[in-house]
Amino acid sequence: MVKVENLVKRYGNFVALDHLELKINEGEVFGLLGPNGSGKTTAISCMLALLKYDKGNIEIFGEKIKPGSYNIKRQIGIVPQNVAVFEELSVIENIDYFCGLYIRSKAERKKLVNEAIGFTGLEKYTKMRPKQLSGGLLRRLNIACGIVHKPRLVIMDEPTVAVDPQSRNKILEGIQELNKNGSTIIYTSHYMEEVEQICTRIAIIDGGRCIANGTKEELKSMIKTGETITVENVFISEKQLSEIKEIQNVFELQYEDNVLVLRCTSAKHNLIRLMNYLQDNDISFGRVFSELPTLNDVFLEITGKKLRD
Amino acid sequence: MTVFKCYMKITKKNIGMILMYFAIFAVISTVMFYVSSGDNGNSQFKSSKLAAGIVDNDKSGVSEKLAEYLSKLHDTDMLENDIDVLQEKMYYYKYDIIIQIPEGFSEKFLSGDARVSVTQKPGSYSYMYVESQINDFINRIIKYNIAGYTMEESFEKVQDVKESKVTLVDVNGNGGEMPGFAFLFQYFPYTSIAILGNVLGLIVYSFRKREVKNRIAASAVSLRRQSVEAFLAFIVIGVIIWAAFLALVFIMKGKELLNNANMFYYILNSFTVMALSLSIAFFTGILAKKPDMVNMIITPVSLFMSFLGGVFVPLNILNGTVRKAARFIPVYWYEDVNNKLSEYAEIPADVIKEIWGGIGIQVLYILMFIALTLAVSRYQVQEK
Repeated sequence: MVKVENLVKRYGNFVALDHLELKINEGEVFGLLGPNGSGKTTAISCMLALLKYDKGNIEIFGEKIKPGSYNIKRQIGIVPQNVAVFEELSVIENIDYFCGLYIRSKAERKKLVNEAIGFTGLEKYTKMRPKQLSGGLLRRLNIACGIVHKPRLVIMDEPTVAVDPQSRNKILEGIQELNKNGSTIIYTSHYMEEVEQICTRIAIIDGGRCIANGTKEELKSMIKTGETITVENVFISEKQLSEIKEIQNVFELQYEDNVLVLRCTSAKHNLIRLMNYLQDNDISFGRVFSELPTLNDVFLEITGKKLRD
Repeated sequence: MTVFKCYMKITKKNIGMILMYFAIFAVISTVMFYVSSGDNGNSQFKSSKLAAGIVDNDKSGVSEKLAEYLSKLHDTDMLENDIDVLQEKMYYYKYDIIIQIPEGFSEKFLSGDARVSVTQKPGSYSYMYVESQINDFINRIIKYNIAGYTMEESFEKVQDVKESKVTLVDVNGNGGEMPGFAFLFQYFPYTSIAILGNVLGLIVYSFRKREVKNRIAASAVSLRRQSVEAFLAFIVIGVIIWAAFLALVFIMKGKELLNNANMFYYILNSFTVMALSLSIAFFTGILAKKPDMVNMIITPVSLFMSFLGGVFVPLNILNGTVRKAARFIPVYWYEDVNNKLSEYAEIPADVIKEIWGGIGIQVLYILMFIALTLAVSRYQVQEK
């Protein structure tokens, strides 16, 4: 459905997109994960023909997108990073206006506007102006304006920024429902938990390049970390640390403020082996927990930095 | 017509502010009209008649002839000699002046000792004018009488001379009067700039917000269509405000305007200043970085242009330097045209040229504001 090939975008000497390659299939919730400034929004702007790019090719629905590709644009919905509505219009008037940019028939528009209001749970707020809405409700209005015309492809650029957890969950549920109803979704975020929760396929971008691409399982299998074990309130000597590092499957160790973090390759009994060592050496400890790798681990291992750095 | 309708909807939301400015306009122009139409020394010279009450205590043929003579020069009423009634009439300004012809007036007439008593309202100097007319009457009768004319013949001669009185040379053809609706046209620029600047400036700002702009640019409506619809909305909103203003003029002074030979130029000039207001609104919308900034720009600009351009203070009382500086303000040219139109009932050919020149300069200002807007807009895009 969307094909981005060899995309290069420069702002003077700064390379915002560096030979970016993406392929998004129909029916997917495709996550574009990367830290702030990694090029997510620039990539989206290029996909929507809002920005000229220096090199490469973008095809949507099998056609190259240009600023005048209105037949393609008609089938795309956009939910921008910042709330993009008119302060002077009410909730219902805003949704109707943005629907009007795609749908001419008044009767059809009325039906779609009501559906979008219902979908985003804004029934009680239709007469209110954006200023009167909370942050979460504003985000929902922003989404309603982007999906009201029932687009085949919805591009959401960090739609949950600065939203409370309750509203965030509601938004994420809505996105999954939208996908079930047949829309393909491109979802950008720097919140890995969100991307992990809703995306069927994920591309991790950094410095304008796609550094990894696949399902979350595929991405996690790309890295060495199979398990991360954390032990709190533990007192270990230098010698003991060297010995722990020698335990089977442990490939990285961190000890700071009496907290021990071990990274192990994927294997059985990693935790048991560590527990045995602590018991044998009569080392007391507090809480212990073991975690499977996250997308943050994927990002950390590939780029050497944390996702939110 | 989505973009067009959005402009209309947002304008409708601002109807309260629009009505407020119209109310201010109506009040200011009405008050200023009544203030200016009073005898404040600024009006042009014109022939005038006084409201005069005459008390004839002599009841003679001579005193009757004098009353008859005065009735041809002024609006006169014959009154009884009742001091209370006379005081009341003066108190309520029924008469500008009360002339009392004393008993025995006819007997002293030919000797030249006859005097009348003149009472007038405070602060007026009209009595000198009337006294001079009465003295002139008495002297002429005496002269004719000495020349051998009978009293009756002398009266007729004096009446004849007085009937061919000096008439005002009405150079401009308006009888020295400024049309009442001219005041309404005078205050229009302030209303127009304030309303259109605040409403449309805000809409332009709203459409310019980066996210909204991108959302619309990513939609199925072409950029060209958006621009055409926005332009159309600008014109329609401008014309609605202008039409509302004209409707107000017609309600207040419709007959006078319809009978005025310069109606076309008044309407054309006001249309030009409306277009000027649109261009200022466009420019303001592009300059503003926050919604509040629109009002912060428009309020001082509209007041500055109005004060210096002759909206609130007539151009002829501005001093030379200020007036020279005011020539750089587009509203000045509107008011200049407006003043020329109100000075002449029928405009001479050379003044018509000046009027078209004034309108032309306003059009140049409109083009300048549009060019500035496009330049700033381009600069902002490059900066991003």
